Amino acid sequence: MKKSITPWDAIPAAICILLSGLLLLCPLLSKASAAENSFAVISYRDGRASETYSLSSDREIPIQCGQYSMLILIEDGKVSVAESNCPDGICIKTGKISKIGETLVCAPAGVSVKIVSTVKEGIDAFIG
Amino acid sequence: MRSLDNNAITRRLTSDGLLLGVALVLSYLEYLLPLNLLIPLPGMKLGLGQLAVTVSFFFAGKKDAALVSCIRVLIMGLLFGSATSLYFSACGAFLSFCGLFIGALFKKRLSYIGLGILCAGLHNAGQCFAAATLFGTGVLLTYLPVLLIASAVFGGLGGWIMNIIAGRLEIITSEKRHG
Repeated sequence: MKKSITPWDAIPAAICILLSGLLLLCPLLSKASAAENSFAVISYRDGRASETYSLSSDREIPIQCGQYSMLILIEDGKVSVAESNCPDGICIKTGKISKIGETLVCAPAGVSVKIVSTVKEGIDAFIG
Repeated sequence: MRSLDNNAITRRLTSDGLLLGVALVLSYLEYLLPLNLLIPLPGMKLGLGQLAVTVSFFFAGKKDAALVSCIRVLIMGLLFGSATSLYFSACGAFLSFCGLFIGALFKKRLSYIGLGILCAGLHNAGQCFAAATLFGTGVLLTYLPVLLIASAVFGGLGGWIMNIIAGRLEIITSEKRHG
């Protein structure tokens, strides 16, 4: 081996940095595929069967529940309540949900939306 | 002739033992250094133990280096680590050792700095691979980029130290041969 720095030494360093840049870009691609395995499950308090929608395609879901009507929006793999005539509007204020396990609830209307996934959940923590 | 052979064996045993001792002390030193307080990234290390393995590889022999590397990982794992950390280090050390072979192919061009970065990068790739087998492939995407940049810095730092050590060691080993 040479004993003083040579221009060739930059090559391994460049490979490391380029590879890390490339790997950092990958999550942008994998996020899109995460939506494919995620679903929004809409459940009703009044006993209606729950409905499941995929997060991969954008859509608007109008819901009529008793005296309340609301509009649920699926956009870019995220679910939100766009419109609702419920008194407190907490469901609208919750904003967009996309992570597995997150929920949107409209208590007056008795509607809840939960994100579920077909992919097994990852490990929360690891000690050792 | 037999005593000469014995001499060579004894010399090899002694130098390997010495190098292993250096490797362990450097690993322990690294274990003591609170580097994680400065840069809070788990798994980030200076890679001082690798210095001893590199010296073994180029000044004692490939087999000796493999031995030093294996036993260092085993002893450090048993003394200070757990089963998982042993698994992580073993994967890292194996790939890092492959890095020494790859680096030695380009020994006319690369200095120890390039070699250090190469080994550090492969070491971290090995550790991330080990993590991926335990926690799923997400680790590869989220944590490997960070570790790769760290390996470019710390591998280069180790290589810089190695450049200095190698010059000194060549003087010592040539004196031993001629004097």
